[in-house]
Amino acid sequence: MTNPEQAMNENTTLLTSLTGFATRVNEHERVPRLIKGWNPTVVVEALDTGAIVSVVVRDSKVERVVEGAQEDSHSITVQGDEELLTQIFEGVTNPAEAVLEGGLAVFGTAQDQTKLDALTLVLWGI
Amino acid sequence: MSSPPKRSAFEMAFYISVCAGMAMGTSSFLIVAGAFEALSAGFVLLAIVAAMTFCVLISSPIAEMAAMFPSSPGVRTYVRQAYGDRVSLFVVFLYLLFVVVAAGAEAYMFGYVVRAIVPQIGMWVAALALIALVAGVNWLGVTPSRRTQILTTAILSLGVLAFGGGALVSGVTSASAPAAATLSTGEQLAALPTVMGICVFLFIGFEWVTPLGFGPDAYARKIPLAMPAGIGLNGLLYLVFVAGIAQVMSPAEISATPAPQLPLARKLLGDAGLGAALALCVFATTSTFNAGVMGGARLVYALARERRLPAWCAYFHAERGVPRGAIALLAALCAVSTAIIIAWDVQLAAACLASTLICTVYAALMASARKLRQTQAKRRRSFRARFGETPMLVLAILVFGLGLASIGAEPRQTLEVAAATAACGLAAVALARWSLGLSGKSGKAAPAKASPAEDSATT
Repeated sequence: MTNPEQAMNENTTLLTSLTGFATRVNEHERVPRLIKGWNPTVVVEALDTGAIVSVVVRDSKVERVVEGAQEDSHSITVQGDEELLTQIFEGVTNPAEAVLEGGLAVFGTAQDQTKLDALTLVLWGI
Repeated sequence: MSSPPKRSAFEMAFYISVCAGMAMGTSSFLIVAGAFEALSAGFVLLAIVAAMTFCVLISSPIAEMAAMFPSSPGVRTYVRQAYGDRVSLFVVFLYLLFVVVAAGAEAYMFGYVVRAIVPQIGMWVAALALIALVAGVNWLGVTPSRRTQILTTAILSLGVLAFGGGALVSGVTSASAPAAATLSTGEQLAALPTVMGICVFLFIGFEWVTPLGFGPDAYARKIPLAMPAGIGLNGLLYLVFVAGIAQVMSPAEISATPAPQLPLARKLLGDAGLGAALALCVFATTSTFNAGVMGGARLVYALARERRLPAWCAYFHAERGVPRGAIALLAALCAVSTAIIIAWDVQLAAACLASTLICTVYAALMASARKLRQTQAKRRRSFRARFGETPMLVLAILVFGLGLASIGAEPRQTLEVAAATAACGLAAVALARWSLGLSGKSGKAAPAKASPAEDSATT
């Protein structure tokens, strides 16, 4: 069982990781073309700690990263343990391999899944 | 959080339409014709009910594995978790071979129907144009919406129901004597397992819904319910169609053509019926073919991303989110398969081969579900099949047996189908070995390196 203080810390870890991811996305010169016309909210849920962070993509960039699940008509849910999620959004782990292993679940259309995969390829080449 | 009832109903309708629409192809009518070669109408109905029951039972352990590994690339993950990389790759390559063979049979049937109705269009042209069209549309990233998927399946279902139901109430009866009635009950009972085996072909593809869950909640109830519902819907449609066509045509007439829906349509509606049959064929083939090519392409892409296939197979158009390398590969293989089937006129043998391959894959899935109950007993499952490990083992053996039996469903080409089955098995073994060698180490992805996919994002 995770106490609230731990949860806060762990949430901060995921939030920090995704904030770093957002900065990298917004600073990368090739990413805007990749996500042009693609405006989802990616809800990232850590199954072990309960931390939830939403990444809102608008107009070819990450508009904001916020704690909690944001409602959106076009949303993608990404689930896994917090350590794995952090590794993925920091470019340490190949998400395709994580999905194959069953550690990561991505709920969205096939096109959404390919776009997310493309982001990791362009950012880190993994 | 539970979804609103309206969204929930839409979601359920989408899942059922995927399960049912995937299986309802033009080659389904070829299977019906093949079944009437050996059996009378009553036994054909029995074979369909038995194959449907098998598929419903098989869907439950598949749903359990989907609940364990939601959104994963299905068969690749399930078998890998149970038996490791080597066996998983073998089964995945069998699965891809099945897609290629089934797509070839479907394209053949499309060409056959088009040529029968519009003789100016050659069979080769129609079949290869179909492949080019579906590949081109997918290449451009034009994917049907979920609403379109539901609508297409609904129209298709109503069309099949109209043909079958129309025949039942038409009052038209067959003039010629039923050929299969010359077979004794004992002979028909002996042929029943073989026909049951190929009748599994009528329901294949129901499991393609497993990576498509809208969210984690889908795997607890909706997907486990959608699979038997989709199979049941298809079963009902085939039963009505078979009962109807058997009323209007004799078994000899039905089995004399690979597309018995055409003479049926003519008997019911005259020449105007052929237009309806063509429309039905276009709906059935494009939806099945599109789903098959796209589903297969995703599997090829996933394999390439984990370095189990060459990097060019992972080439994709980033802006459109389309795995172009995988689509091109599958389209090319489907074209080759179609060419072989047309050139040698082996459409029923191809369907038998496809049935054998998919039954083997289903057997591997049942064995995997059983093994995962033992090795990953504590892993969270939002859905659990209502039967234990022994029934799963029995199902695995039975469905494998059905696959073997379907080798003999085309008596004139049993040896050829057996040889093709063995060739596919050897090819899958060779591909698995080659694939394992690509990454240099088992079970883990190779170190990252520049991929054509990355290049595509910049062009």
